[in-house]
Amino acid sequence: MDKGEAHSQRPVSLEITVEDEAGVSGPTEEASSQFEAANQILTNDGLLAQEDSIDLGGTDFVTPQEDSSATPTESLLDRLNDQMMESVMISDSPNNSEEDDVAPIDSYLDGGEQENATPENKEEDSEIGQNSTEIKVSVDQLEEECSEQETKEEQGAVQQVTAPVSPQVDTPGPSPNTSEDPEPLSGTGTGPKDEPVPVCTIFSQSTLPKSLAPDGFQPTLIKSPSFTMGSAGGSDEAVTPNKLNRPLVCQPSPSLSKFFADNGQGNPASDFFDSFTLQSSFISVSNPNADLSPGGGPPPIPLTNERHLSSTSSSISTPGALLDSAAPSTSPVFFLTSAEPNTNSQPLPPQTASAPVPAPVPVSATQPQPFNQLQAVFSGSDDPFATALSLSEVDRRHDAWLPCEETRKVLISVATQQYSPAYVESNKLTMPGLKFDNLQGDAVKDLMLSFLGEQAAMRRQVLTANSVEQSFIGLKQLISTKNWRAAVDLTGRLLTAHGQGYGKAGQATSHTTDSLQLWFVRLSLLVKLNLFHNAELEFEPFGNLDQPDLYYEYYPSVYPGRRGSMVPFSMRLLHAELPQYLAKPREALDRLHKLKTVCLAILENLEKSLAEDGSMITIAEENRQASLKLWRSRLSRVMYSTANCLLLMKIGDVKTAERYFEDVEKAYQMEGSNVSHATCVLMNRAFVYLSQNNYAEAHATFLEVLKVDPKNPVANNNAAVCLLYLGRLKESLGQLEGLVQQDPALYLHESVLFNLTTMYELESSRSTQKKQALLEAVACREGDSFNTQCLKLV
Amino acid sequence: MDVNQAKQEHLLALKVMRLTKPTLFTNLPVTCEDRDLPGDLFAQLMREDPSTIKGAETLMLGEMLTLPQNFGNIFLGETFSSYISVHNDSNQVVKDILVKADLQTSSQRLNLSASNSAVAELKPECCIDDVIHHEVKEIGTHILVCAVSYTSQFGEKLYFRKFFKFQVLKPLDVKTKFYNAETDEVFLEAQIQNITTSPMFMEKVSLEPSMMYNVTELNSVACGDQGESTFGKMSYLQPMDTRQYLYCLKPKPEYAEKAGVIKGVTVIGKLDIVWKTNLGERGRLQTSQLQRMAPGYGDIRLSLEVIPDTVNLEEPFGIVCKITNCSERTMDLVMEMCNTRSIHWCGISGRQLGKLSPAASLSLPLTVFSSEQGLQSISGLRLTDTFLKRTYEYDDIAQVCVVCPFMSNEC
Repeated sequence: MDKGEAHSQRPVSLEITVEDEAGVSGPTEEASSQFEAANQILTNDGLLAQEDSIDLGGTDFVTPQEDSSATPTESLLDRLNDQMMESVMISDSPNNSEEDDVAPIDSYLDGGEQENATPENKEEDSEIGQNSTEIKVSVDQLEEECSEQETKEEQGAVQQVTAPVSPQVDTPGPSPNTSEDPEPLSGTGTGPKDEPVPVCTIFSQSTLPKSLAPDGFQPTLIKSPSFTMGSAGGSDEAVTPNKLNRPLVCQPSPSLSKFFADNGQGNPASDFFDSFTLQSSFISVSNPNADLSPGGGPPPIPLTNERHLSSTSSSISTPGALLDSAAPSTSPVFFLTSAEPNTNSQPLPPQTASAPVPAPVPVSATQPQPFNQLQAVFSGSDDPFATALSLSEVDRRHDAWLPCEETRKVLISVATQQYSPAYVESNKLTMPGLKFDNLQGDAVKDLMLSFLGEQAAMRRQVLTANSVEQSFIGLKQLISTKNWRAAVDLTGRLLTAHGQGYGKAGQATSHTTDSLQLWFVRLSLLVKLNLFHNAELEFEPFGNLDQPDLYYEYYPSVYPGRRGSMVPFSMRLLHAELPQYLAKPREALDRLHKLKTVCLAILENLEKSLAEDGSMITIAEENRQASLKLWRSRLSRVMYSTANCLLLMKIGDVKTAERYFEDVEKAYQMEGSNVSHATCVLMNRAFVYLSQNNYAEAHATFLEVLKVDPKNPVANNNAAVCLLYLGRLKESLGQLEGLVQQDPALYLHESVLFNLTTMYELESSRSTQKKQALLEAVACREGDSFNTQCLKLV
Repeated sequence: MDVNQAKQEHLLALKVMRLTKPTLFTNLPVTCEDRDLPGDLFAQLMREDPSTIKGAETLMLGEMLTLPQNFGNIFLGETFSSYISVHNDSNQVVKDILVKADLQTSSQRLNLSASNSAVAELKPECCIDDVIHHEVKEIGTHILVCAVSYTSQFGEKLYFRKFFKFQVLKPLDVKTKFYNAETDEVFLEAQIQNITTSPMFMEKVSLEPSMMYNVTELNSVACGDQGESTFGKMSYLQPMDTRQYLYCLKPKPEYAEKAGVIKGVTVIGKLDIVWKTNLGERGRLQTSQLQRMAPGYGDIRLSLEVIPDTVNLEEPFGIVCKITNCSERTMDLVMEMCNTRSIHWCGISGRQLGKLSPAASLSLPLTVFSSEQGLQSISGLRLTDTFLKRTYEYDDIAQVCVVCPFMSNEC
């Protein structure tokens, strides 16, 4: 790379360039490979010194090679200085007219003065005119003082600007159900938690007095009086006229059947879909995972057999699968709460009104029933009422949404059978399809190939879309092992199986709960992988997620009586958040505000004792509370997103963001949210020091945090960063390296690795080897979703 | 490449990194509800992620600090900090290492090294670290010159330097405008525009008046005990946004008495601006002394001391004029009053006002009425200095609103 070339390649606007007068670089090979790196570093990574490059303002500066090494001649120095002075002078000629002794700066505002000359003349009397003002640095009086002192003094007055938002909210997420409590369904504060078997827990919970309304949304009363009657009758075998309808009800979605008919054989996904849809026959209404506390305790299956009730849940092969898989048959679980004796006599919800016959249900009022048993009963009973059941509170609660007026009309007309869905104009339909079908690959492996050789790369073993079961189970496996790229591939396959594959966008299709869940997973993974443009492309056919065919009412035959949105709330949120990552924060804000509006409207409906969608359904108090809680948590999630969005618009609005966080706290109504932990206080103090440039104190404070909480990764990392700012590179490096080696699970994190590689680069010209060592560490532990950019190897 | 080959390999490597404030790591919160397909997985992954805030995982901003990712921009008034590391890449002990860091600006060369003494020896894989700071006081190109000299194992004296060039940009655009009130007060309107690419927190914008003036800030609205800033609660200035600050300057009494003498260019004061950006990165600028061209009053200044704002049609009203001799000599004045189309003076035109010494003034009550409705301009005063036979014309001294005192039907 000769000098001229280097110069010509460089954009003039380059902020920083390096001039090397006397060769410093290592072996040439390395240097050459580094040069590429250096280019990037100079432009992207901001390290000044990675490579010697030459840019002294375009003047012909021919001397460097000759001057290399040992003794710089005086003439060289002179010449150099001349060069530099010339190149440095640039355009801003010093303006020496200032009366003070500061090195003057040219007045760059002269233009303004002339511009404003005309108005001045007109109004000479009242206005002396608009002057442009020269800015100069404030050194007048302070000039004599030592500059360090000055800085110190000024800092004394400095107010802290950016206080980190302290994690005072105690609950991790907006969803109250994400607790790590091994007992899946225990509500907070209710039910004996020491029960080893979750089912029992649930049950005992359900026998609690109603006054102890559980705060989760699981406990749901069956409100249909007929239901209660049925349970009183206790007839399992009750045959209802509706039974005739059942085949219709159980029909898998047309597109699926079509798919299987067409090319079912070879596709591994078809098996999956087959079982999946069959299972979902009576249940297709429900969401996988609904009301399961995933990863929860022991599967309730064993209890199922206790009652010897016929159960389609047997189609789920393993107990683990029951919990982990999306197998829909688990979903009736949420009826468990119906075990509660139903004392209320609300009118039937409209959707259940069509089932005139008392339910055959064994949900006997007082009899404890593990909910999976109930489920088994329902599924086994072959009773259409099972379907009616699945229109339960939980579904309605979660799926509630307020469609726009136009969509509402379409849905009403479908419901009243004015016309069949087939005649709905196609531009009102949602016709998604994959927009890309290339495999995502594994960046870590690619890097290993190029740096560590093929053998090393072969050693890397990660799960791929091929190596797992072609089902929701496999998908979850990929996600939890952080192989998100493979997971994206798998969602692609599954969606292809559903007829929404590559190139299928714009073709008529139908939606099921599962297909939309797949889309949701796929899109959220794309976002997690920073593939925002891909996500945007694939989101596009969904429009504003308000098309009629995204509502259950649109499929009266598949989801009889079920109402609400098929699109999960989280997907709406994702859709709303997406534009902010694409530099369209205002659009994101708009969408978030729309979400917020709907949430507020639903909350208002609930406050008025209406159903979520405003219809005049009486809801039991417990259900109403549960609904309120759910929608409040959703609202607060939206608030969080809004705050994030404002943050992304670059601090700009931190105060507003803070206000939003206060709102969130209120929405949560957390108790003791004001009680800060010692760690939290210390952290905040450290950040205050940081903002005052007091790295020594900040470092000390982070160390104090570590005394309280030695494993705190944030404090560890931040202490190391402070050390660097104190000029203690080696110590800092040692600390970070130690952390990564001791506890890779915690410290093989993007941010830590980024810091570490930056320090490597700063420390030595042989950073590449050290980075490769990191790559190997990463390769053993991380999935294919690892962001390799932080290693700065390329 | 050619260059590199021609170079001799050095035992030491010099690395320089600008230390801007560290940034907080941000993550991408993607959540789902328990009913959704991934179930708890997303939430669990986020909880396990060390960079999220426990209890607020859905918040994008974490507490994890990351080192600067790029050089960024540096603006006038900010502090340039840089890490300088000299690392011994070789396997031999190097002696007498001297690292010098100079900053070459367009006008001067500053030594930034903390110490100028040589380090006796540097073992392999060890390094010499230095963190330099410099408050940037000039815009334009700056060059950081790092020079390293050392002695090798074999007593060979070696030397190399590196240059790092960066541009210092202007962060703010400041425009000022003066308004002169009749009462010798001066209003200063200052427009401050953020011309950087990131938002700024304006910590302080104040006007330091010169010794002749007292200043009142007019940037807050009195509301209860505490004045609220006219900019609302938020002190952030987005990129390219402009704020207008208003100040009222009153000459101090000792100077006010000689108001007539305030002539030509006067120094009003200077603006002091302190701002903060990322993680409290601080910048401070002062403008140069703001100068005001005092309104040119000529030899004689005629100002109004009393004038009604609204008068009745065809009804005489009084005004009081103040006549100040702004010249260096004594004047002997004669005043004439010329009627205009609407303004009619009452009293004798051409009367002697007597002698007026320099800087002296006299008050003169006059009576006038208007024959037309509407906003009428008072004009037609003529002052003649009999010494120099020079006439000064005063038109459009003030305006009065002339209304009809009767009901409309009576008119």
